[in-house]
Amino acid sequence: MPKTRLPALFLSAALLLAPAVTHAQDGVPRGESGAVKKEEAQDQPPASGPVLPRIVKYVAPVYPPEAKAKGVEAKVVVQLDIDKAGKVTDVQVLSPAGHGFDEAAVAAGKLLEFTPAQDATGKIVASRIQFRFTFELGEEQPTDQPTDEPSDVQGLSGTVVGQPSEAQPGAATEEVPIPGAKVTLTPRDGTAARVLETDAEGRFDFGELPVGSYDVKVEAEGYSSSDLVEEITAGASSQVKYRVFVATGGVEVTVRGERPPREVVKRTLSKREINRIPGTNGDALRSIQNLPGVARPPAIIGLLLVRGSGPADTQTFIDGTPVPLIYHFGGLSSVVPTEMLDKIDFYPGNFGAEYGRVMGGIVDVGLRKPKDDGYHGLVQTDLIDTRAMVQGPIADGWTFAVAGRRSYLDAWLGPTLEAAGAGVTQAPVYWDYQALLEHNSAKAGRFRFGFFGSDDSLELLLEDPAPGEPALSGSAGLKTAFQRIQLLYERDLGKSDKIRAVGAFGHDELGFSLGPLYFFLDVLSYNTRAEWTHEFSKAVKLNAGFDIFSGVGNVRLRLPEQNTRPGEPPNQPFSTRPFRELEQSEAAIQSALYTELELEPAPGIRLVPGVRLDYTSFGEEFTFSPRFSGRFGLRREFPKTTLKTGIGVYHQPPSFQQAIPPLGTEGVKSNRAIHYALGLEQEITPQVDASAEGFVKQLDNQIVGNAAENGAGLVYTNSGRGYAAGGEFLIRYKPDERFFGWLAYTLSRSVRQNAPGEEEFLVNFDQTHILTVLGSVKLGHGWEIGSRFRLVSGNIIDPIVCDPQIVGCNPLRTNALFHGASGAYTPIPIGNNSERLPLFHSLDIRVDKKWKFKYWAFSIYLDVQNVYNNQNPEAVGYNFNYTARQYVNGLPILPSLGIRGDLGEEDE
Amino acid sequence: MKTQPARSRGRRALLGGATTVLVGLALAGGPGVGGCSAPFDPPSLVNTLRILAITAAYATPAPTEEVPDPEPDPGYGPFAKPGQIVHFEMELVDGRDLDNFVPVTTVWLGGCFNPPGQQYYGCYEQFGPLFEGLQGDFSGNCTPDSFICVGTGDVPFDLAIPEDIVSSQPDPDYGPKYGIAYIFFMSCAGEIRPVSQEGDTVAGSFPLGCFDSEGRELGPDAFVPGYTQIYVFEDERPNPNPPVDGLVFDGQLREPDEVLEATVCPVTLEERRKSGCAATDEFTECGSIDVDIAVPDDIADEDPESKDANGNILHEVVWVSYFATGGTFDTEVKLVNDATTGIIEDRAVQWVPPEEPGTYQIWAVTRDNRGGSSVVTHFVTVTE
Repeated sequence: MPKTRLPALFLSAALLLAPAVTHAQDGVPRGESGAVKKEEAQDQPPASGPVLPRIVKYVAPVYPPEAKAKGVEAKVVVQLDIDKAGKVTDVQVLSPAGHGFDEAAVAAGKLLEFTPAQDATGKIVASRIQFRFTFELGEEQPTDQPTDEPSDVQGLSGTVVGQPSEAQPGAATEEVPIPGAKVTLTPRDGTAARVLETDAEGRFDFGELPVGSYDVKVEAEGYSSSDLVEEITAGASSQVKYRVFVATGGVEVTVRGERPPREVVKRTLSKREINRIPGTNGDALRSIQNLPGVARPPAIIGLLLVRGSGPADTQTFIDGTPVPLIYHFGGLSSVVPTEMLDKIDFYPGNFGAEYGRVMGGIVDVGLRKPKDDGYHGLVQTDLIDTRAMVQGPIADGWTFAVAGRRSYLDAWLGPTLEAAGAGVTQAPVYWDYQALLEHNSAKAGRFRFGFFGSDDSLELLLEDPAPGEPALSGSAGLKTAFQRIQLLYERDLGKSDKIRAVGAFGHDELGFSLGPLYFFLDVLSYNTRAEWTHEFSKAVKLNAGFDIFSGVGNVRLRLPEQNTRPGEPPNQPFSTRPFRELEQSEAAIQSALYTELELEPAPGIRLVPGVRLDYTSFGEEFTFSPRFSGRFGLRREFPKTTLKTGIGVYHQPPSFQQAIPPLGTEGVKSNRAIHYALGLEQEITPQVDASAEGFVKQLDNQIVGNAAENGAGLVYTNSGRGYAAGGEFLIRYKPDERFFGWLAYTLSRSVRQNAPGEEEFLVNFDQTHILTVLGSVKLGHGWEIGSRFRLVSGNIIDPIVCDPQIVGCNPLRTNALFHGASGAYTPIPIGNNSERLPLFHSLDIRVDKKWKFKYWAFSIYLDVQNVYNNQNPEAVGYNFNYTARQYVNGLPILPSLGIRGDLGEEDE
Repeated sequence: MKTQPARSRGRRALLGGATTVLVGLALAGGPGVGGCSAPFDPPSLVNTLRILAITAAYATPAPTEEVPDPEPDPGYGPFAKPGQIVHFEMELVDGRDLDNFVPVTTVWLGGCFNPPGQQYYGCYEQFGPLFEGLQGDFSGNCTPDSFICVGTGDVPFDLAIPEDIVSSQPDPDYGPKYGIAYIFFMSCAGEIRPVSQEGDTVAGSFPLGCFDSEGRELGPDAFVPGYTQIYVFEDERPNPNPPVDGLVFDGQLREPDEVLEATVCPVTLEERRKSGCAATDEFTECGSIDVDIAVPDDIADEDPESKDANGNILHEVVWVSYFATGGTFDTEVKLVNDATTGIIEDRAVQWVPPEEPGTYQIWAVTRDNRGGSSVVTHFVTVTE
């Protein structure tokens, strides 16, 4: 039955208002009459900053009958002029939706009432705000509708009685009782909590209570849970009325934007965007690859190539704890399922002092706080994997979430390979898991125990050796895995201080074997970081913290020498070279102290200077990394214009293999990069904004490996240098009830030089042009269709056989010499990364259909990659004597069909 | 000879398929793997001008007045002693289907000892004058001290190793003291001339090309350049070539002059090149012949430079590569001796005759990882 979802209207309004208003709505609005007393606002002490209007009377708009009949939904953003009495004097539509929605929104807007706005001195002034009306249709929702107006605070004393209530549709001030709602009263003195259920009329009565402070939690099926604090004073009893609101389903996987970012560029994606971007199978972390500044990785290989940096230059964190992987085998999905994500912070460069040890970018994934308003579950399956999740409350402020996923490629790919002749013992298998146990209270803060990990493995039986590699037969295996036990603690210490600390024990495994050869790396580690934030004033905030990694790595290997030894022809098959066997353990510690100031010297101006001091036991090296970023609001009202800039020094220590002999070279130092950025953000409409950033990464002290003169491995030096520079452009239509989409374009160039005086070359993953256009539109009745088109410059290669289509190619060139001592051909590269592969282009389409039921939802989707089956070259293959070449193409058309069931509140 | 039913040839693309899985879960469909397109000709198919092996067959002491025609020093060839003369042999095949016979010119160039970086391209500067003068008449110059030899076909070559090839080298920081001699060779169905080609790496580009009688440059089908190397150690350690007694067909060691017969397989070369999809499998459509080499169990020498984790000296790795002027092998390369586990008995491969009747040649080139090699070959008559 069609309905207007009033609570969604309220939440939308809050999101569109200033952060101060958002804060004002935290907790459960209360009040006997449901109205905010004006005197209360007037009695408030002079504010340290301006106070925006707060709604006190809400009138629901009338759903246009024609739109309702057609099943059309919409959101209408209006601009309200509010006088000093809080009355709406004018309503202007900023984002028209047609179908009668605009008229309904204007009519309803004129009936709204607010507390008047105050300026910085506390003086009541007229104001202008934006307000969003959401018109949504539900199929199985009850006819009862909750009110969404906030209520004021009543005095409480002695006993607690009350009733949760909700409102009748269309009558904003009428309420209905909610029977069966759970009210949990937890004394703050540590004594046992009490739980009651409301009666048929929605009433509850705790009887007499000792004087003191209590945490109250109100939970009702179909509604968002609410937390608040009650103070019981001696000798007085009061009745209270708690209002709860219909669950909005509007949760977003995004940064909670209480303040502008510390960094120059911080990209966020809403959960709907993540779920619906075609070509990603709804995978959150894969969606990052569609953002500006991120190069296209080779076909289905899970790499993050950020602003001209290599994959090892970008670090991934889960709630502040570094993890070695972001994607499962082949990049098919990420190591944390979307349903467990709360946010993804992606910094393509110029990140703040809290992060270090890399010179590329940062991805910090936040795990979701488990839901406390009942039990929720999810099951999703497609051709690649199956995942499940369950979450909910336990007791006394404790909540939990457990999720797991396993691929079943082995079920169909294994037999396929066997049919093709491969003796498969284990086709690619990956799985991951997350278990969270969390406690929240206003007194003790937020505490979370987490246990999560990931495992990828593959084993093949190779009956015959590869041509040219006679010793490579037998089993071939690959394994990458990590586990983390994590403790996270957050707490506000009064009004001005806040601490956040996270520590984790970790175990990483990386290994492969191929016939008689193997390499296994096993790392036990402990990571901890903590940050203290102190707000000296609204204009001055200090962040200070530390960041420590310590670990013991054990490496076991049996590999052919990288360079042949005396008497061994250098061109013989890799597998027939003498083996080097090694087993070695090494401890390492890397620690850092950092501090940052967040300064707001004037409205709209935000300056963040910071420094970071790092120590690494690899080379016994200290590095000092000063950083600065700034945001300047050139226009602070809609349409806002913001200028942003940043400069910073970044150090990346050598890896274990680079720094520890005999694999590495003693004394090798950290890579260094200096990031420069300058950009502009511009609002175009309330739904559309645009941004442009220019960046330069100046690289020096880059670690370069050269063949050792004695033939034993590589010698690493810090002789490399280079730069990456470019521009990023993004025009984004933010998600509304029907559409989201963006156009992202990156122009970049990434150059390296192995040593001063040597020739510069473009790195292999240099992509001059990267264009991504995507969008998704809701068609109504649960249907949604989306499309993504990518147009990207080809990767750089150093060919051995030139392309006859390229001017200057000599098809008769001698590309290789027959090596008589080994029988192999020694290729003669043309050199200098002289060829770029053809342009990559691909169209992906995704179609979703969703059915909503009272307690659960079911959806089915089809995600088709490379719809027109373009043959995109990813590499060049050669024949045995390098007289012919052929492109190795990437993914052909690849459809993926999936189904999903959501139990409880929809999580979209 | 009877041909026997064969196992599926799907195994032929096995590692390619596995590699595809490793890279792209068998979805990428690169050349020669997984897709329906025709990949390249296999290395075993000899249908162009090919050099299959360069063998340092033996080394003899320098002749003296007392011993003008010395016997070879046993155990030397790929490794030599200072002052020895190393005898090189070339396994040259012109597999082109030509209407008219075209003679093949072969050039040997020696005299590059211990080049800069001990790399082959370090010889280019030293060989420059020789490269420039290759258009001259070198007939009769194939002496060990001339360092250049021009002949027809698979003309052999002798190279005199200098007495100071090791002593002229500085003492190494660790490991044995040694010297290297590089030898270049090229076979051309025409005339060899200097050329200038593209190449910006440290390896530069090869400075010679092959031209027909009308001055047109010829491609790789008619021109095979290459190089090989000889190690000389201060301790004069030996290193014989791997001994091979002959080719074994269907379990029987055949004499070199014994005539073998087989029946054609009607699956065309084009169909055989395809893999995956609905490609015809000649190994199930036709009979095949088991091919192996006869070798002693102690074919591999100890390799003093190669030790396991316990310090035990390992043996050489030995493998065999098969070639033929027609037909297809299910596996082209087989390991013969593992460094740690020793001789491998199960190493036979299968060969399916071509679709056209005629006389075809099969080679087995056995190599070790220290530059040793041996060649055995046999002719097979294929009939309808």
